[in-house]
Amino acid sequence: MQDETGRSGIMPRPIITDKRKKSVIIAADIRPVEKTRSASQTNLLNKKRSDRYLATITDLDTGGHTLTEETREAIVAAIRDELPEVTIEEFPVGIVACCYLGDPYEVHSLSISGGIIYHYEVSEPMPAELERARTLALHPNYAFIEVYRDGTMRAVEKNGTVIVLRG
Amino acid sequence: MSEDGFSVIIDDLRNISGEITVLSSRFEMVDDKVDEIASDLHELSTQFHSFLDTYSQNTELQLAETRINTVRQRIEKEYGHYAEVRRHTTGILQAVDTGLVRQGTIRAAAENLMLSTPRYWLTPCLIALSAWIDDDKNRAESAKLEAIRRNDERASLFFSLVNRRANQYDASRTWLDRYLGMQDPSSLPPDMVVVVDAYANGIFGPDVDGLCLNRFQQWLVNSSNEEGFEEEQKNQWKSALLSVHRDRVSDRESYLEKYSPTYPQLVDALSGACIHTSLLDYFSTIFEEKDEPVDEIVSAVDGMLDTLVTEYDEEERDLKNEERFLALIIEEGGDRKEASRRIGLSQPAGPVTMDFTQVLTNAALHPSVYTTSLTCRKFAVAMSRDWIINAYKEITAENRQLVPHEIEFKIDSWSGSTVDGGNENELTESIQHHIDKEITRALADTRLDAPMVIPGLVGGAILIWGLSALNVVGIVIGAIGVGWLYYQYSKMAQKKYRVKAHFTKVASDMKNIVRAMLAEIVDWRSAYADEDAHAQRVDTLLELITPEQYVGRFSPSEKAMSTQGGGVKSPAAIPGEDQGLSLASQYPPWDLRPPLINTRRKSA
Repeated sequence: MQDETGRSGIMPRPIITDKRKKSVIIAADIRPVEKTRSASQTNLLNKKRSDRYLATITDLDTGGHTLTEETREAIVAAIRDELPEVTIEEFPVGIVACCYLGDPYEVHSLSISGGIIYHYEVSEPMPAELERARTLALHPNYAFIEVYRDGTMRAVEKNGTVIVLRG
Repeated sequence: MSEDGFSVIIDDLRNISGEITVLSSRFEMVDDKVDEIASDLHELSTQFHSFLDTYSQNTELQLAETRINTVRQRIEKEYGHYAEVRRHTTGILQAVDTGLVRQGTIRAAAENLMLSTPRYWLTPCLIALSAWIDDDKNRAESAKLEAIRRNDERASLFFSLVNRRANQYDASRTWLDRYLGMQDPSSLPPDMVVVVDAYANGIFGPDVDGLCLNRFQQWLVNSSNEEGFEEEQKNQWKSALLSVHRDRVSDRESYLEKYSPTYPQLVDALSGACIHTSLLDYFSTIFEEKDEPVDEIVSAVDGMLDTLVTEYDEEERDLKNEERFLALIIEEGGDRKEASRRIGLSQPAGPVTMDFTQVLTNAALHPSVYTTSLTCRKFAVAMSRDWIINAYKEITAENRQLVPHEIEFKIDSWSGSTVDGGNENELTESIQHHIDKEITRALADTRLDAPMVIPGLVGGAILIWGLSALNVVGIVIGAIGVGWLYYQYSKMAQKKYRVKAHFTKVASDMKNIVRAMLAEIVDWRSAYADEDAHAQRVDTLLELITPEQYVGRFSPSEKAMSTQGGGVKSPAAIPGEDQGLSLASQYPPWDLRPPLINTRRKSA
């Protein structure tokens, strides 16, 4: 009996297969693999940011050096809406973003508690805790960088994806 | 005392000395005897312990020889029929493969076994198999239900593997899904890698309705809900991706290396950015490479059926283990310790189960250790895509954070900095200012002081007096004094000239070095931007990967064929089909499918 390819099709597959070959595949599986469960809790702050939140934060260039009370409240409300489970103490201490006001300004920082927006010139140093976020804020891939009290930074991409950088 | 008295004492002392010598030699003899006795005692003790060991081993040997017979009798009495069922199952599968045995013989053999093994799960499987070959659908259905009742998990795997051999892929996958549904994804059997590999390679046929894929994805969703799971997966992949990194930074001479304290940071950042190209090559290689033949996987899946029908049942295991241990004691001549060591070696150490994410990670990252195919690797990477993307984004952001905003320079005591290399004028002015201050400081040491000026002034006064008085001596002394002053002045002027010339050269060199460094910074920023730009390509590549792309190796037309009545597929479409084409003709056109009842999942 031959199949369409002309080969003999009657040759059956042996049910008792090649033990050596099989052992190569199966024996490798029983190697113990270490697995440790992290005890850290899922961080609510790592959720993808919404378009509305992104728009509120990235629209800061239009204001002056000081936020109006209304703008500040709008930002706090936006953060509250975005992260309802997070207390105001856990809010970012500052948000650093690329400044589009033009030369000589390079980046700006937003202090939510102080209600201040500050535009920094190219060679003007930022406070140390915010300076760490400067290079990332200038990168076109990120909309802004949230800096937290514990030194953690969250780089927010333009599509809202959050990347956590430990302090 | 007289001389005679002394000689008597001397003689007595000589006698005492002689006796002491005799005593001493006797003590030595006693010592030798004691040593001899101690040696004899030691030898006796050794012989005694050896005797005890031999006696103990002989006793163990006799006990083992007696016990092994009892154990074998119990195995034969209680489970002897199981072994017969296993032999028959293998025999019937071979008989069906070769087509040498009549259906009636197969049916009769299976039914006889059913009567002698009222609890064993494999027997009704055998009945179902023989009824299927016999085209007796009702009997096959009843036997199938009985097999499920006795051991749902093993029966489901058995029917999946048998259906696969018969090229009934839809039924095989349905049974496989039922088997998977009974598994705890946090504790999977070791041969799950073989199942995943075979599934990815289409050994169970094309998963048109995504039955098993949905099951795998649901396992991942369930795991994702566990605390810390996502973080752990991301960190695991982060380490894996970093291990792929190949440094491509050139080691050419650089002014920045000599004059910039920021240089190490620049090297780290650029070296880190090379990971994008490395990963692009790595993933492109995996996903662009052609899939290799899957014969070994087909053999491994057949091996699973072989193992399933030949391995001991759980209830037999204790007796079988005891028999093995007793046999080893007999082999070792009653040495129980050696037998324990050997049985310990033959049993795997540590956990023999793994969770599903470990199966994927091992398949994706350690293909040589776990002998997984390229297709399985692609499938495992695709299933792990979200964690890989998260890990990659974090690596990328960490690298971008390393890029220094301001680059510092330090040449001798001058220091400056630049952000983008655009402040050349500012820096050269700073250098000039610095050099001017250095010149001023250096020239402060080149003024004519009093010991140099006074002799000249005195000489000048004497010269004037000498000329007015026409005093030759005065004129000569005065001329010498004035000449001295002129000589000192000229010397100082030359020194000032040399200092200025030196610092002018230093300033020029420094400005040239700074210009070179600014050029290097522009080059560096450009090189970094080039490497960093590859990140987007890696992102896009990873975003486009979906597990569905890497399940099976079938074209849509071939998939359509497989759904038509669950019939036999084209031999070219199914991996390993060319070997098994004839087998399909041994089975009736209907397949053995699981009943539509809920599966019970194993507890964790």
